[in-house]
Amino acid sequence: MESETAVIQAERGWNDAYLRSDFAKLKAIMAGDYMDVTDDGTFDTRTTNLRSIKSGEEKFTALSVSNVMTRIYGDVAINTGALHMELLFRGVPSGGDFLFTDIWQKRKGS
Amino acid sequence: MIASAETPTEAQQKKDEGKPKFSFAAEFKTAAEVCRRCRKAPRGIESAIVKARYELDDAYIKQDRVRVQSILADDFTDVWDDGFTKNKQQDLDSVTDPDDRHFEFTPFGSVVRAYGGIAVFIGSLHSRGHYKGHDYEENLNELDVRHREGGGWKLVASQSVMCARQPSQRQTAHSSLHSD
Repeated sequence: MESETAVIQAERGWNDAYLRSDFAKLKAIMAGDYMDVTDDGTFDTRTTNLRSIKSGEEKFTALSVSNVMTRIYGDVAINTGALHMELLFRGVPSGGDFLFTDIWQKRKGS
Repeated sequence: MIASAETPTEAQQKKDEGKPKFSFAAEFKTAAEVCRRCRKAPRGIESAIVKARYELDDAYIKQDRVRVQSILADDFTDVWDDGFTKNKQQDLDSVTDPDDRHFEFTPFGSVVRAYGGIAVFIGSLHSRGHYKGHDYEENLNELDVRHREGGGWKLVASQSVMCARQPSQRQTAHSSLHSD
């Protein structure tokens, strides 16, 4: 249970870093081999993802998760749940409600 | 060769021989192209995951409920592009549904990564099927998470998103699909 709470907190901490456009924190949270199957039908890496945050191209204004279910297999956790997202993409409001599957791995204790 | 928006020349057809039998117009990079420098699973695990994928796809196509049941983990979760979700029981209920058929799954450009007893498959697949009275053909990006259990790889979680590259309108004309 403690581990599950930690993983959900990590999920929320990640969202919080996006909201603050905290580049350093995002880089620390996302693994070097991070990969995202995006809702627009493309793939994204940590490099390209963070580039859009650093450049200000993407600015998140609301991010919240709900109904998160965590499953833990050794050092790996799988979170599934719902995500509400609001952002400005190149100044244009965007976002919506999504379902997600996130995979976390414990590395160096976190 | 699937019909495309432009009629291919004979030379182009020859050039395309051996390639996946579908084509796209929009710029798109597969997971394998995007993830060239990412760490990948050892070859043995990669081939086991690809094989496990093939077995599950084959079980869906053959509506083999028993085999699907043995491949899905008990806590399996499935999220579809339209927000539809399924657990193991709901998925099994759909396997033999005559109005929810799968005819083809062709993965392309995939990446497999392993983290201990967990393997992650990220890739695209070409899919054809029949759902609620309509035939469909689509390309999906997929994330599959498998857990090593009892010597096999059980599918724990799957999430699909419509791929940025979709078959052209003419490709959805099913009369031309199986000339190979």
